[in-house]
Amino acid sequence: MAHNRRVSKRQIWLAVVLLSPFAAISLLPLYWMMVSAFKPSAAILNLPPDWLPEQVTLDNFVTLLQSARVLRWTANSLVVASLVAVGNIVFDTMAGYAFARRHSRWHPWLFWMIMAGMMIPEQITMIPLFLMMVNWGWYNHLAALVVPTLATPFGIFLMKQFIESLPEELEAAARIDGASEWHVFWRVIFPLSRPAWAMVGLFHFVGNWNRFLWPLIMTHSDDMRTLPVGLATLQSQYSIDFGLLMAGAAVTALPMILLFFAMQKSFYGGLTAGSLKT
Amino acid sequence: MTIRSSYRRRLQLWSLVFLAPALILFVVMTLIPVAQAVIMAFYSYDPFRGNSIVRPQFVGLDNFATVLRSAGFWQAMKNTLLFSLGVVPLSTALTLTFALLMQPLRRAYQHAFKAAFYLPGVVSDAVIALIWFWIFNPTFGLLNYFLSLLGFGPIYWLADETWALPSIMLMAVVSGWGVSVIIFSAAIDQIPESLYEAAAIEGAGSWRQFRHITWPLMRPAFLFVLVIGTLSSLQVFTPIYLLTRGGPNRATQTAVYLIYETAFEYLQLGRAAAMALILFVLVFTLAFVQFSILRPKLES
Repeated sequence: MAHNRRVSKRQIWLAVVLLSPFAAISLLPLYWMMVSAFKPSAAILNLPPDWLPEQVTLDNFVTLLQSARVLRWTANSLVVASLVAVGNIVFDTMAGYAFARRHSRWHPWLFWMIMAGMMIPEQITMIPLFLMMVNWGWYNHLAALVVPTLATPFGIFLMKQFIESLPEELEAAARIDGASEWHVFWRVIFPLSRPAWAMVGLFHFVGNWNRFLWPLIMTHSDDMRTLPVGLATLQSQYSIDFGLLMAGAAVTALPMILLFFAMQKSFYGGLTAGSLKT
Repeated sequence: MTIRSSYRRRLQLWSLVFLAPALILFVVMTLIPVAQAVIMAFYSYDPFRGNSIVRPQFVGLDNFATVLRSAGFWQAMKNTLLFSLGVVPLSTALTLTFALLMQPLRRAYQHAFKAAFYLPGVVSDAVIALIWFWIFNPTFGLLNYFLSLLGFGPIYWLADETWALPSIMLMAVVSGWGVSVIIFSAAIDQIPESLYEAAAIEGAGSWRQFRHITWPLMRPAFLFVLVIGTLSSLQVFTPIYLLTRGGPNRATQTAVYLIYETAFEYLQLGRAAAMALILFVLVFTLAFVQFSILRPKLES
């Protein structure tokens, strides 16, 4: 923590002055989305822009509810993001545990094979995976958005790193008490690794709520869209109605923004966990 | 069999149980599709040649030949590289500067700035692209409004061949810089204070402190940001799909957008698979080059 290093007041002012415009640029689009979503359609295109709405209205949201299946999209997004998060919490922790303890000499080998999978970009697998899902009858079905991502190399990596730091004596003690391996995992390892899997779950929840390309490919009916993809259909249908578009954008963005403010530490922790170990 | 080895055997069996879901998913959803992608690249699924998704035809290296000879593919590759070359160095330089400027600030200010830079990153890139769709609008958008305040005429950001790609690059930089700010800040925070104190006692100024303490210790984070940034920028898709559909006149056609279009709009699955493989080789080579240039110096 490099704070007590002596810094002049001038240096601090300089930093704030230099950083503030960039921070403003960073936030402006989201601010613009939020204020515009609540503007009446008569005022939405005003230039110079109303930086604060003269009149606050829910009209855009009402139109959104009436003209788009936004509730259904929200439900789809919620189901997909939650199931993927839960799947990764369970499966990544299980795999991370097995890899951390290396009871077989094959484990390191398998681990690196899965890690190599992280290098494979989505556009390589998406075409064969699309055909596979079509053959399984999963096209335009939420299963296609959930099942392929129920365990990921990133989550397995984080869980392995974390569980390696847990002392093995805890498991040994449970085994001496006669606990089965299944119990050792669920009663000892799983509760102890909660900070790590909470982060894994959070990342998968946010990532799948926001995901665009794969749901775009795998769904075609209005009922099966997730929020970001449904939002994109609003653009092509009502390209001029910016108020409606911003209301849809706000509905998609706001849950993630709130989640971020509630769990800032976990967001940052997940980002740095991978980078500082290199 | 001794008790010990039967115990080991039991542990091995159980670890297989724990691994099973992840391993099965990996094989079915990654390993097999990768193999299939390679095979598909040698088949034609062209609906106009009497082939289709259900009746592909083996065509040898035809797909690769067609792709490598098509001007559209090279245009897309060029755009993708330009996009990456514009976005990654600019974003890395800016975020490194932000992190260094933030370092002496009080915790509360640091938190506020970090949140400001990171917030666009927690939102779907579809949302970001749609907001910018409006900001870029030549008549009703904020960008041309600001320009008019400065006395400049309107720019047709997305409809102008010269401006379209730079516009999307601008959007990508200012909405995607959060991750690297966080990573750089965390790396700076990890540098022990005592190093700076020792350097100050020996009379090292702030440039030499940066050169000999901050920079060497931040190198791993720098490498990580560079590689991750390159990988993700070479795969840009969502803003292209929502803002320009590769236009005007292919000026924003990028590799992944072209793959998407070829596979899912023209249903040329084999050709798209060939493109994806070529792109993969390129991406992998670039990541490898970055690693081998920056990596050896890490140990020193």
